[in-house]
Amino acid sequence: MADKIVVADKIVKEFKPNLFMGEAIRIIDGVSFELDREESLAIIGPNGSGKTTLLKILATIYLPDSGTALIDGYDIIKDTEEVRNRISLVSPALDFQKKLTLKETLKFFADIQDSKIDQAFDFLQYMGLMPMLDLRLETFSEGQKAMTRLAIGLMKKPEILLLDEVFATLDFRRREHLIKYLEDYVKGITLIIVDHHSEVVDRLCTKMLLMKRGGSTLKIGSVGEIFERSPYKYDVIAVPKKYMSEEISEGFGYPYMRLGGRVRFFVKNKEEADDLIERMFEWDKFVSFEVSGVSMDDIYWLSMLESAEEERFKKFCTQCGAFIPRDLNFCLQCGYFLD
Amino acid sequence: MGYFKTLNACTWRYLKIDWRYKFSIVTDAIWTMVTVVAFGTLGYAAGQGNENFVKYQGTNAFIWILVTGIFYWTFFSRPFEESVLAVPEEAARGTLGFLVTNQVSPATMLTGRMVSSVFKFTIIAAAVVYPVMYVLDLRIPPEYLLEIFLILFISMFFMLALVFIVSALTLIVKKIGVIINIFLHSSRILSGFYFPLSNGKESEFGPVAMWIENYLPIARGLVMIRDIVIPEDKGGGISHTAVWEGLEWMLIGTVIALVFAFIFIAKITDLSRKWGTLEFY
Ligand SMILES: Nc1ncnc2c1ncn2[C@@H]1O[C@H](COP(=O)(O)OP(=O)(O)OP(=O)(O)O)[C@@H](O)[C@H]1O
Ligand SMILES: [Mg+2]
Repeated sequence: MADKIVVADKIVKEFKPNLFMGEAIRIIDGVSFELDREESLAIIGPNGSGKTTLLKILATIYLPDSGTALIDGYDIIKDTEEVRNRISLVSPALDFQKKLTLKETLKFFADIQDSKIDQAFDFLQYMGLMPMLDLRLETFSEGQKAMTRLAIGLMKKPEILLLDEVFATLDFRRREHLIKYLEDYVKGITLIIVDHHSEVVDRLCTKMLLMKRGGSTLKIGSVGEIFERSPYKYDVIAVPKKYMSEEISEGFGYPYMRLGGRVRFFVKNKEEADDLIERMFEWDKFVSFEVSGVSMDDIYWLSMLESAEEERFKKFCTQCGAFIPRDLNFCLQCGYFLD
Repeated sequence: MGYFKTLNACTWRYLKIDWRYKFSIVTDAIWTMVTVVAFGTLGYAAGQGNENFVKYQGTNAFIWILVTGIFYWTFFSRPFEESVLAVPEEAARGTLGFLVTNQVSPATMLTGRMVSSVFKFTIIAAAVVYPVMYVLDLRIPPEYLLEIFLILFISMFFMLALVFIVSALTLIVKKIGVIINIFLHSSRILSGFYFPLSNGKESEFGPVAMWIENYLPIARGLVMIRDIVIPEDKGGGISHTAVWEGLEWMLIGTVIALVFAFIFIAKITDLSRKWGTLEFY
């Protein structure tokens, strides 16, 4: 048993849009990370940043152009058989023969994976899918198909479970339900997920890998670390009596973002929050305020904003030189407020 | 063994699917019937006043040639197409990527597709083509049943080798429709479906034609089937010993083709993992 369960080392992947001519486009640009046993990783980034491609490389569907990864000590390029025995990729790209029933479908995938279909029953029971066993897949909703994919992935009892946006088509209740299941389930295994829901990342993952367009790493670290690194710890949500112009919002001297009719200010500490609220009171045009700690949600949101930003909108912090997303008027690195 | 378990799973899956698309079984049967009529009338027209047109004698000789050709190819034409088309279909469905991450070669899936498809067309051949043969005095003598079965069985694996090769190409080139037909028609011509190769014996291509007839499994197979079903007094007839010798050559050719095709598809699968064409459309 290797020390680290996953060691990805400078993975690079390029694709040519046309095999026989034209330039290759770099999709993954030297991504490295390590995971200990029972750690789990969230891969986050904007559309097209190469998250799915990275999962497919780890799952040995694609070969990297350079770099490699070790899964439980086995090389994804050379020891494919050992790697394949240990991983299970749940991909939204997996579609089904719609004339087959759920049971027949599970049976087929069980045989392919050399597992047994009753190993999926537990999960199906939990998600309430058991009564559907004899129904054909053509009658399934997207969410139910997503669950079927997951059932297939879990059936294999992998050591590493790779989940690509499995929560995307689930309603709120199902999502909660599934998170709970995985919270228990992942205790014994390693989870690598791509997901756009912050609560999923927050509850299931200990580490985050933020990718930006072009497939390079923006940030990597434990969820706590990335949380810590954010200079803004509190936010104040203010509901103005009527529309509050940009000028007035800026007048308060704190970074903010607009949320429909409300304005949300970010502050570094309690003192700043008090100061802000005091000045709002004086101004007397607010219905209410609400102070709270910045949540995982915000960190996630701010990070997404940061990694999604396109080249042409780039601006930089005059204090520390870091890149600042277009929608923000403060620096995510040092907290400096641009005015 | 793992291989047979997955092969079995793939075959059953396709059998079930085919069974549930009953309408397409009907259209396949009708299509076969139309082919029989088309080639039957052609054979009839060509045979009039042209009794020594081919190796066999009588006004029916050319019909016999064509109808036995259809009988033989009913087992492999559509199954060949269906199997090759299974690759882009399953790739788009993500099954191919899934198989690869589970250490199952696309070749296994293709074998399952081919076997189940040939099964379906065995029923169509028996129900649609054989009655026509029967009416035309073309009969399978019971003592040759095993040999006929083996000829068809080995031919299926030869066609499977072709399926591997063309399917491997579909992993790289996506628009494959015409390529399928090029391969299919070339192999039908080479098998002597439209015109027996031995008819060209005297021409300058004679040696090549005879070599193909002896060593290309589908050519030898078809010649033997014709000799078995066409009446002896009209130039048909073949001894059991001759059939068994033919089967040996068919087996050798098929094994060589399969080994080559298997290596080819394995190599191309690896390349498509590198190029990213394995799942991407
Ligand atoms: N096999 C392939 N061949 C060519 N280009 C590809 C291939 N796979 C992915 N790409 C391209 O690589 C880029 C990254 O794709 P990928 O699916 O990895 O992004 P992603 O981060 O998962 O995006 P999303 O959030 O939309 O799922 C896209 O521009 C895509 O078109
Ligand atoms: Mg994706």
